[in-house]
Amino acid sequence: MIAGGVSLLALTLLATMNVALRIFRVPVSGTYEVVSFLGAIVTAGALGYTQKRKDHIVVDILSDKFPPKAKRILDRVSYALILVFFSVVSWQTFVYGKRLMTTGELSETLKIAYYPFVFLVSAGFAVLALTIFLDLVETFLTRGEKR
Amino acid sequence: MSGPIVGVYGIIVMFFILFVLRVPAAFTMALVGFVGIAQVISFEAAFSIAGTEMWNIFSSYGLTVIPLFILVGEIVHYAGYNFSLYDATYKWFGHFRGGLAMTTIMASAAFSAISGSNTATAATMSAVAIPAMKEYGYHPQLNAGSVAAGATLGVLIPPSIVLVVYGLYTGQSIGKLFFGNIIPSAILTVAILGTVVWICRMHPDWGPAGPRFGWKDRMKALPEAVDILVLFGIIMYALFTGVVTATEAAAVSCFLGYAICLARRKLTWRKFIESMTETLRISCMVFMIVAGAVIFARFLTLTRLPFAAAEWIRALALPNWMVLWVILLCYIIGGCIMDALAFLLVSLPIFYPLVIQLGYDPIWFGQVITIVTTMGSIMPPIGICCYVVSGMSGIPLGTVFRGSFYYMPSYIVSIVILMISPYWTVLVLSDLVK
Repeated sequence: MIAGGVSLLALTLLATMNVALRIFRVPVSGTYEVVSFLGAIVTAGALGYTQKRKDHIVVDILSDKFPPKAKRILDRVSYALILVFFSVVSWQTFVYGKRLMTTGELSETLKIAYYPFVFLVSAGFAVLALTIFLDLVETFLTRGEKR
Repeated sequence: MSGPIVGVYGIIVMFFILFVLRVPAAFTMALVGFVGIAQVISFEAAFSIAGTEMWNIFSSYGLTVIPLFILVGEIVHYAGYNFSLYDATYKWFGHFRGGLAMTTIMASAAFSAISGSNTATAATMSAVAIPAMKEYGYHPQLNAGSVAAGATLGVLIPPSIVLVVYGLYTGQSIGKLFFGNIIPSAILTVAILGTVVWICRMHPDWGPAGPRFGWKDRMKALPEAVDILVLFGIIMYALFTGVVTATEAAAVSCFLGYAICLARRKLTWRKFIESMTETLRISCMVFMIVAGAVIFARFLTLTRLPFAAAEWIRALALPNWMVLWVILLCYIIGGCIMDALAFLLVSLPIFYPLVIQLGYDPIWFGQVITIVTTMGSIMPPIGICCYVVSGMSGIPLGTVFRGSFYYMPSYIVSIVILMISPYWTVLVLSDLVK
């Protein structure tokens, strides 16, 4: 979350600087790359927080009509589904980052190793999976008074 | 099992998960897309796509524009510009009959010029406009309806998040989309204002006129409204000349936004932190929907369903405009049952290739569907703007929906005008952008 906020600020500053420098005709190469990498961190850093706040758009026009008990069971199924999915995503992103690390892949213009950013995105998904796991546990702990 | 039929099953499964399991739209699309790819090619391919593709989407330069445009809106919101904008418009137009309702709509339009989301506009405007109109004895239907209808402008007038997402998804220039949007937004704003006048003529007691202000008061209220106009002007000019990318334009306006707010001493540390956290969670939400849609679209393309659907429609030999209306009808129904942005991205993989094959201009189509989907946000049963207005003001939801129903014709009229002349409404300006 904090990483996301810092990246967002850095992103604003960097892109603004780039425009200012361009006005004075001082070309800086590679800001595109850094901006993209920072952009990835902005979203990845907020993944867990957004899930915790339940901000993602759900369609509950139909499920509002279900009895609470059925709703709780369906919630468990849905949490379990996305838990598995985002664990896979996190793991696969990690695998991808590791491959970049071992092959020594460098970014196109700046020639820097960018695998740490990939690891951070993977960590973001891991936090998301963890938050979903906690939500899932919660459906077993609370006895239907919530939601 | 392979071919287009897998795509059809995929869509059915997606709607089932979406409606019955209440999985967020973003996750549903990603999940179904992932499993679908595993079915069409192999699990290994799907696994590797899950890893590399997520990184590719997250680190795409174009998408960095989303958090930045959201941040500008949040800065302006937390700095309290909604109050000064409302105050300024009120001093100029408050003395007409229904003047406060018109003020609301114009202030919403001005606020939308910097904010890209309709729920943010609905929330800010509810806080300012509803108490004011209550005080002057406005009828609740006119009161709540005008706030909800005005808020829909938030998503239409540039910088609009829906247009940004549409542009990123279809690969169209965001600058062109924004410029093409100027005339359609103006048409819709005028149509909504006209509706207020018409309501006040039908029910003269619904919107009593306010007091008239002197020129001195009017001038005094202007400077802060000018801030917003300048900021808007800078974004549009930068995009117009093409010297900067959309991301850079957004970043510069964030920077200037902070600078102006600091200079005017409008920003405290707490408000700054709040604007940041709000931005992070809203952009994360939007980002995930885009990511989900990209994965889902990849799956649909693999099944060749969009091509098959286009072939099938062509075989029907219907006139183009009829196909277009059928598509728009789908959007209106879709906008009624789910969030506009989510529906847009769920449906674009299917409809976009079709519309382009029919020979419609992608920039123009972007404007039309933005108006259509924004109309869905004030339509029952899940018009999101009405929920926000009702939640913020305590006016019953039914009254809000009845109040906003008066504005439906203005959306239809705007769409018809866009269809009559795509060139003079959209392309005349968007073609100017390099």
